[in-house]
Amino acid sequence: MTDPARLARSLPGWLRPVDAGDDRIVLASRVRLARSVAGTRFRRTLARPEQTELVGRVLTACREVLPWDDPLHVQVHRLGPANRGVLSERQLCSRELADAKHPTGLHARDDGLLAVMGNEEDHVRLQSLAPGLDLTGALAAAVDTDRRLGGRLGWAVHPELGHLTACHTNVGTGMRASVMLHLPALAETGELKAVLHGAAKLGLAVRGRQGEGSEPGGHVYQLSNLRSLGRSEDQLCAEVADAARAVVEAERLARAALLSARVRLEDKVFRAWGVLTGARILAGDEAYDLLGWLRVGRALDLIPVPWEVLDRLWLQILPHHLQALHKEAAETGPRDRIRARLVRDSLLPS
Amino acid sequence: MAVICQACQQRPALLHLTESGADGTVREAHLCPQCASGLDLGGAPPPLAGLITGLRSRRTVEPEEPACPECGFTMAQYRELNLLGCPACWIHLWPRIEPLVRRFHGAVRHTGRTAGGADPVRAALERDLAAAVADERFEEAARLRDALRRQAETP
Ligand SMILES: [Zn+2]
Ligand SMILES: [Zn+2]
Repeated sequence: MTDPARLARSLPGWLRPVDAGDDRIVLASRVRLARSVAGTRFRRTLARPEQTELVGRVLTACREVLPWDDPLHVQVHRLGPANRGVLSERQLCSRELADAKHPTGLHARDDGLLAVMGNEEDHVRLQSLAPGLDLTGALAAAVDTDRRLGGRLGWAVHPELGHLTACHTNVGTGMRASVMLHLPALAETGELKAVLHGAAKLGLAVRGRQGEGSEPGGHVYQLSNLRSLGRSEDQLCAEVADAARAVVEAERLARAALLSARVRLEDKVFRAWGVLTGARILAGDEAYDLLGWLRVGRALDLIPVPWEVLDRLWLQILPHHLQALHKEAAETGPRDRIRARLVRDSLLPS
Repeated sequence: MAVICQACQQRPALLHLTESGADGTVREAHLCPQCASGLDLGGAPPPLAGLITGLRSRRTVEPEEPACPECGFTMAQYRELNLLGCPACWIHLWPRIEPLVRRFHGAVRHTGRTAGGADPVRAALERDLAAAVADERFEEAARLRDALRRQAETP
């Protein structure tokens, strides 16, 4: 698959329930590994032709050693802005890579669960995603990819410091394990602040929104390890997973508390339903927040919309996805009308 | 990317929050838990403008610094960009990097998956050196030989 616009119509492998009872508070787990190619300068001191050469080397190695069928294989900086946006909106690559002006490459498995970025902050960043809370599974897949790619490219590893990265905050394991969480009920009950600060006090990083970008909020947060040195990958993953489980429990309690004042929660959910099925103009932030409440309603069996419809919409209302699907959506005015129509048609199929 | 709290300029920032205003502007806050405890996540955005002004005025000028012989990078540049110049900077600038690593990670020794394994930096240098000699690229070979020698000298 080489056409990012085609991607916009599909659902990535991480955006799905893990089982029938999944309440979707944990959206996905991700393990990212930062790697440097031995004997090659980092980007800030690497001339542009050498950066192009590096990207070529990384992409070629991916083709040769990663046994993936029909991967997405692109030089990201050569794509148009809408297509680059699609890649970052579906978490296939970092926002930094999508926005880069310098040469960049992306080699991703067609289900979107594994991806290798070339010439990001580090020479190579590989990421592994899994639906639900599964850092162990994500780590195992990342380690396998790392072993294959490292065998070909030759990572810069120091006997005591581990992987040598461009920034001292990633040295050692080069790993960031994160869990993507949807926490609307904690926000509604006003407990979100305390919960997130609690996680931060444990030495974990909390990111609002999806990663470091400016995509719509909808109470999606990422919890991840801050330190990458002095602890093993498995220890770091376990710490993040433990904290995520505690936050999930808090969100469940908040949902239960809202449900005990049932009419208040029903009001949030059905108000969202009313707007989403009636509105003729829908801004991105508003639609994202309201869809978040439909998700809560679905998790609590208040509305019968299938998860697949909600998952697909959650991605397709994002500005670049909308543009990839509808050319006219390049401008805000038509975009908000197209978004409203897409949401209405998806929730009320004729 | 190293992220230091915008408010106190000392502790690592653990809370990274992005807010977009109605006018499409995007504000970011990077705060440590101590400084963030005054922040109301549900309400008004934090006073970022003030924090960022504070950040600029506190930067101090350091005396002349050693540079990495492989890529010419200095610690002054590192502090500016928060990114090193090449993998060898880790070895040549280590005395200056060590306190940063110790403060951020609370450790200076890797205990993860590659720990105790072979040294791929050296392996890669040796492999490149062999190839350079075989191809009669002698300038390249001399550079690699120097790099290997320097690497052997570092602890
Ligand atoms: Zn602080
Ligand atoms: Zn260097």
